[in-house]
Amino acid sequence: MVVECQGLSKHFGRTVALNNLTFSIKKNAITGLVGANGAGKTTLLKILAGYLRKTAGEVRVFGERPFNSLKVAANTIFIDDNLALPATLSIAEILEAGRLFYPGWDHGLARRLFDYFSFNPRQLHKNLSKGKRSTFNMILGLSARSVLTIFDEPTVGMDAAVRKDFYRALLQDYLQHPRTIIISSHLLKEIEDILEEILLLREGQKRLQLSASALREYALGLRGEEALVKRFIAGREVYRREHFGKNSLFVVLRNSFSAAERHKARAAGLEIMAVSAEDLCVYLTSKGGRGIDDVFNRN
Amino acid sequence: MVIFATDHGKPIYLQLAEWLEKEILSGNIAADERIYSQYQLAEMFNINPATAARGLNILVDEEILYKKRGLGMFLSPGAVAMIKKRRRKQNLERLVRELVEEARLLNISRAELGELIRGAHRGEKGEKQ
Amino acid sequence: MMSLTEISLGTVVKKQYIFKLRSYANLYVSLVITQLIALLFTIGGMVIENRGIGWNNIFLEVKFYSSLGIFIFTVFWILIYSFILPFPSYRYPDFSFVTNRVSSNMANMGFLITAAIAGGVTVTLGSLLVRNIIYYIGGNEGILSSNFWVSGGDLFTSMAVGSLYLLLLGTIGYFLGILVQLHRSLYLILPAFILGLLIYAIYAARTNPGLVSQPILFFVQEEAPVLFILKIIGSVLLLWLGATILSNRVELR
Repeated sequence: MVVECQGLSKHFGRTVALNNLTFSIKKNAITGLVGANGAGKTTLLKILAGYLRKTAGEVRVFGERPFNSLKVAANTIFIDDNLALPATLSIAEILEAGRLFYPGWDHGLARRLFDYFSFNPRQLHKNLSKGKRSTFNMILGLSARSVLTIFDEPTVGMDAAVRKDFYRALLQDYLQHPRTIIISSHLLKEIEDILEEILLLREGQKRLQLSASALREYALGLRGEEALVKRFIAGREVYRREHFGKNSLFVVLRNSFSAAERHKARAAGLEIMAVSAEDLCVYLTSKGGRGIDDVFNRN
Repeated sequence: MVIFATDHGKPIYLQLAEWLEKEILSGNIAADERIYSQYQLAEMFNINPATAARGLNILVDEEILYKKRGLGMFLSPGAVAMIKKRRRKQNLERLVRELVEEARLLNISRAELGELIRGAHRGEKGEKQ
Repeated sequence: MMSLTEISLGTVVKKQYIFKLRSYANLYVSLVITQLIALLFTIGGMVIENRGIGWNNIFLEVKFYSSLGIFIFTVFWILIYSFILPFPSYRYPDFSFVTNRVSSNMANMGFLITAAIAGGVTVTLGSLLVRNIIYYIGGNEGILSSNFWVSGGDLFTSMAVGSLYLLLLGTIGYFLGILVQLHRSLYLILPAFILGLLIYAIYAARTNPGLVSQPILFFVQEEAPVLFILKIIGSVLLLWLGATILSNRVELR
């Protein structure tokens, strides 16, 4: 295990950003950290990178507390939208700084990506557009070849083509140089394919951690006549409930039905459908399973 | 990821297993030939290698593939027959069941349904000519 | 498969130091500009006394030139730079690469030492330049100072003493810079506090001169070179240690 957290909490004044979080992250796997805005993703990653101090609980990266650990610093790179770099250095000089600091730095890769995305080596980092800055930060993150590589919302501002390139580059480099990668996003759809594990946060707490390939089977949707649906779901946790049409009900719930139960549901006229990973994550991470429609239905 | 356009929402490793079966059925891989590694598949389909491994392992569990320690996975000699047999049981029989149910809902007689199937066969042959 | 790298504090500090020298090379450009401005003041208008005495058609004009102006400008330069060195835009980039809070503080100290030496050397060279300009422009007839001609040993002493003072002041600036990072409110409190201290010092200078002069005399009156160096280095170390302890638990962003 590269990362281990035990009852980890983080408070900012009276705000609770992380609340009693216990999980671990597998070595040499790509883990996706997913959750709505404000779920605590960035706070968690900053604690792992040694930027922030924990308030309570235990956090270990490579077996050490990350805050002020040189071992963690030397083997970790943390890339996010606010990456701080000297305003005086050109982007080519920043790559040189990367070469100076990171033992596994691959300058050839850095140069090839630099050329592919047609960067002007003399440009200053602060003068890059939002999308270009994200792209440059990504180059830094990949070329460092850190044992623990953390990307926090890495594709902010990138256009669709560059996003695709980024995830392709990330996977290719990972296949050639397997390492522990944590990547956070609120767009699961984008990262789902390349993930091995998913850690889902909601309001500072762990909602779910499972293998990414299991996510599409984790839940199912049930649609049909309201009374019928209600009978079938009695006693089960419902992630999402939507009324529509003439007394029709659509629910999303844990896929724990046996084949016989499923057959019975179909025979009774209920529709059973797969729930996409993305939709499921939205349902799982929304507050109390509410949807936007609840704002408008005040009955 | 969607390997087949109709597979939206289906687990990737299942899609991958089906794609591999299709490759095997179409004769692209000979008996006892080495099949793609999880890393090759990961690169081909832009998916995590662990997901690719899960797809491969389905075929290993069904003995369509066999493992050689340190060498990779190879196609079992009886693979094509096994896939055909299972697909017939799983896919074809399910589809027929659904077809019959739908026909019943639409009040289509057995004779009419048989005619539709024969028509579909003819249409397919017609396209081939 | 990647293996974990074990890295020593010394290696990280060295890399951080190189990184800082590369990143903040513009510091030296600003040093040169600062000193050129000071030089202009010195040559042009920093005539401390200009007395004309008319007596029996003899007119005597006495001009005092001093390279103190260059030193004072350089002091401001190092105070400003050392004060902003702990600010986020200079501190956070360290953490974007490899560091912890101790190595970051150590590298900053190395950077300050380099700046102080650069300052001490250029101030001395600047005073030589002033002498030259006076000699060639002002004429060499009426130079009334035994201090005008300096030996190589004097130059070295001047560089060393200048550097040590700049280092001390730079470390004070750095310490204050760290202090205001601790809490947002200190941005407001600290300038007010320093202003208050100055006003108090002016007031106290009249009633209790020792209180104000003692700390300054502690350094200035020391005549034994070794003791002087020890006093400076000791104070610098204490301030640096204080800055490191204060900043060792500070979070980023």
